[in-house]
Amino acid sequence: MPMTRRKLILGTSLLALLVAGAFVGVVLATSGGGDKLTVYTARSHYGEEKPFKRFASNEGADLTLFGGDASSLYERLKNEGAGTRADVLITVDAANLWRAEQAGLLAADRDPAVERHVPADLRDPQGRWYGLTVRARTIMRSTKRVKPADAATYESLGDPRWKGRLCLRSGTSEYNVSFVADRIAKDGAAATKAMLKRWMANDPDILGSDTDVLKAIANGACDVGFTNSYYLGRELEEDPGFPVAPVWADQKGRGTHLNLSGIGIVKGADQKEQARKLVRFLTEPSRQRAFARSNHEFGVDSQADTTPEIKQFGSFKRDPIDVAGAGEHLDDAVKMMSSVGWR
Amino acid sequence: MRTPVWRSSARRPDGWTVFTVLAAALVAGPLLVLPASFVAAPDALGDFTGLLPDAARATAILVLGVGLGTLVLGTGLAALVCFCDFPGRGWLEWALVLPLAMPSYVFTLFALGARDGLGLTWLSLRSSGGAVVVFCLTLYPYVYLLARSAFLSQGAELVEAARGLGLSPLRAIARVAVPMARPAIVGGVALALMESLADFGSVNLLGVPSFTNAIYKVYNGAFDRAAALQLGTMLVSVTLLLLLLERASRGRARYSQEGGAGRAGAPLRLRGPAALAAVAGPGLLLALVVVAPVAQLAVWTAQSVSAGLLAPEFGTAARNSLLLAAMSIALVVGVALVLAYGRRASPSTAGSRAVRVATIGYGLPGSVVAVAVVVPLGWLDHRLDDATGVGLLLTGTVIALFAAYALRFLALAFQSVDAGLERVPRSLDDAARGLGSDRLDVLARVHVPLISGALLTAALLVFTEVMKELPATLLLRPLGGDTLAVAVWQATTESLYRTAALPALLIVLVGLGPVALLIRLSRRVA
Repeated sequence: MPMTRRKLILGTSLLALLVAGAFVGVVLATSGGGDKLTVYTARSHYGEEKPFKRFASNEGADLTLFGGDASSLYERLKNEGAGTRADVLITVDAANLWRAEQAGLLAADRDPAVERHVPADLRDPQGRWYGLTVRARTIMRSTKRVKPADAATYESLGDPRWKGRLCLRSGTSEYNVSFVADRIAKDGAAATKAMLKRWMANDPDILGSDTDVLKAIANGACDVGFTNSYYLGRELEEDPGFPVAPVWADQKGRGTHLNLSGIGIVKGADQKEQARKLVRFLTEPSRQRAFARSNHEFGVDSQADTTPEIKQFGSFKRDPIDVAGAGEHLDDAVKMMSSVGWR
Repeated sequence: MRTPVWRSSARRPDGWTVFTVLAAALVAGPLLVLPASFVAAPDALGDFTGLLPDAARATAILVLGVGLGTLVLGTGLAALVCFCDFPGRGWLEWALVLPLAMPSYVFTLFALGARDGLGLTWLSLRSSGGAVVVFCLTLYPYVYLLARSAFLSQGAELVEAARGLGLSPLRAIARVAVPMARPAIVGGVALALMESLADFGSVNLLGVPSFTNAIYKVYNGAFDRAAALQLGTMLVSVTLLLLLLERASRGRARYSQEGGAGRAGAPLRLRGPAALAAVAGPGLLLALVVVAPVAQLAVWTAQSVSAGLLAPEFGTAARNSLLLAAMSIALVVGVALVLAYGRRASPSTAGSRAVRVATIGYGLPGSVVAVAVVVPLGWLDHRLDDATGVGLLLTGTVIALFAAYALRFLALAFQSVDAGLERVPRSLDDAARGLGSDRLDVLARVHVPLISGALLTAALLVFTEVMKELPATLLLRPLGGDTLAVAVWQATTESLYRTAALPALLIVLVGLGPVALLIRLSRRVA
């Protein structure tokens, strides 16, 4: 079949038509959602969608979950502005709640029914966001080689005895950045920097994820590490003999650092009423418990239980992140971490 | 030799040049956002200068290591299957392309898991050196593919003539066949380098402080868009330098050969230990890069299925991935053909520059490309919305995504199409023009049939790349537009490797199909 000029033009036009048709199709498919409740969520929704599905069937709502990492959801919301189809934003981290709030992306919506279930230090005074679950970021130790007393404080990770034996997740992790920002807000920049310098002097192994840190402790590459506790819960769920245990840090001081996964209603939401109902629904104690249990986290309401895997290590004194204070120092934290060499 | 750009009949810029420049401006226009960030926020980067020495060092190591590694591996393997004959050669010839379907980040996940699982903790993967190894193993097919098709189109006569002049077979290959294939080989190395510089998943997993990691840190940690764009500008400069070097290495030489298409005949027969090594070496490579990771993913998938971790969204994600990849082929290969042929049919400085500009997006991380696309399109979108009230037509749909794919992957398609065109003797163009055809006619009736192999290669590269693409898709996909790569990411950020296994396996398997199919087709055509 010889190619001719006519065939080339015909073929190209057909392809153009195809692309245009697909475009129109996608526009139609995505624009009909005027009565859809759309949730932008940074939580991994695989295996976690049950509370959402329960809500959708209870309310007869048509619910879309749209996942993405914090920066892409934020960038998307900012770009969409008033034209956004998002109604609710869920983040895994306090810093991102603060950023969204600062950028004016969240609607102020105080709701007494929600406030009853979320302690005042875990929600915005103006109701722009509410805590959903809290996650403890603390010291992890090998149960075979390390006694709890040897690494009881965050400072102690800088003890020279851990030289070459400390594992950390990379400095790009939002959990690490939030931790450092919270320390700067509470202890000041100088003290925080001094602590990080001592950590770095121990030549830590910088790994890609909290799970990698835990595995490195388990297989002997490290003795101590610094992770969110729910990652340990997952490992223990799979292998109850997993040789790693948390040390609830700073129990004689402020307590163990808590980060926050939170929820807020997007400014310009089309489905404001449904969105309010969803926030109310997800912050109910039973729902908090379900969320916490599905991922070994803790409810914001301290009554909401976690899983047996984590509960076995006892209760502990909590030091919730100072969202506004840490938020102000996020940029400082990133700069400080890169200046001390936390890759 | 230059043909006149100005037609004597009319004193206006040549149509092809105008078309080329327009296409390039449309594709690469958004990149203006990068340098503009220096004007908008001149001192944004000041706070992050601490990241630069590390980024420069890591980039230098990657360029040298990956450049040399893919050059040797890709060219060596292509020469092996083109000029030697041994049992299993026909099978290896296409199987060696399969790693193309293995995303670097999936292979990295596997390699880290395997290292820990086997207790090989002394093996330091988390270093620039580890990243070089990962990239060489997963990216060599770019060099292999282009070198192979160049070797095949050379025909056997040249190597035979060289042997007739007394050169040993190895020397004949090294001194005649490889230099003849230089544009293709250098083009392939340039692709592999740009790919490794733009990679994010692997360098992040391996903790290599490269430019993309620095950009991620600045953008995700500090949400500093201006500083991220400025780091992106520096990365583009590195890419630009690489492309200029590539052009310079080509010089003004032309490498077409009249009538030299077909099987590289009379191959060197290998026997005994040599034949065994020729099969075992590449076989081991494939076992490591393809078979073992696929087996591991399959085991994880089986475990996740039996644990009921199967998300129903995976079906939709697979459909979206396939549709996006297939539609991108039409767009990206089409534009690449226009640019490559436009430059050939009507050589001009403006045209060449346009092409260079249009293809630099490949060395940029997807996240930077996405931001560069979203800034101007978003602006336009809001104006349109204000004027007509239609909603966000560009950024709320696949349009923005296609703009990003075109910007990101044009170089890939262009390199193969251009290398294909280079091998078509210019005398053919002149002859066809002499017979009264205009240039569009020549393209349709002479070039497209002659370079159908190169077009297929371009289509295959674009397809697998779009299947694997993550950061731009994450930022620009429309609602309900999750792809398999997005699904893998959703799960791996929370370290749910078993949940990630099924979509990762699907990316690899769906990618393997077209890779196998197209390499077979291209073998028939070549």
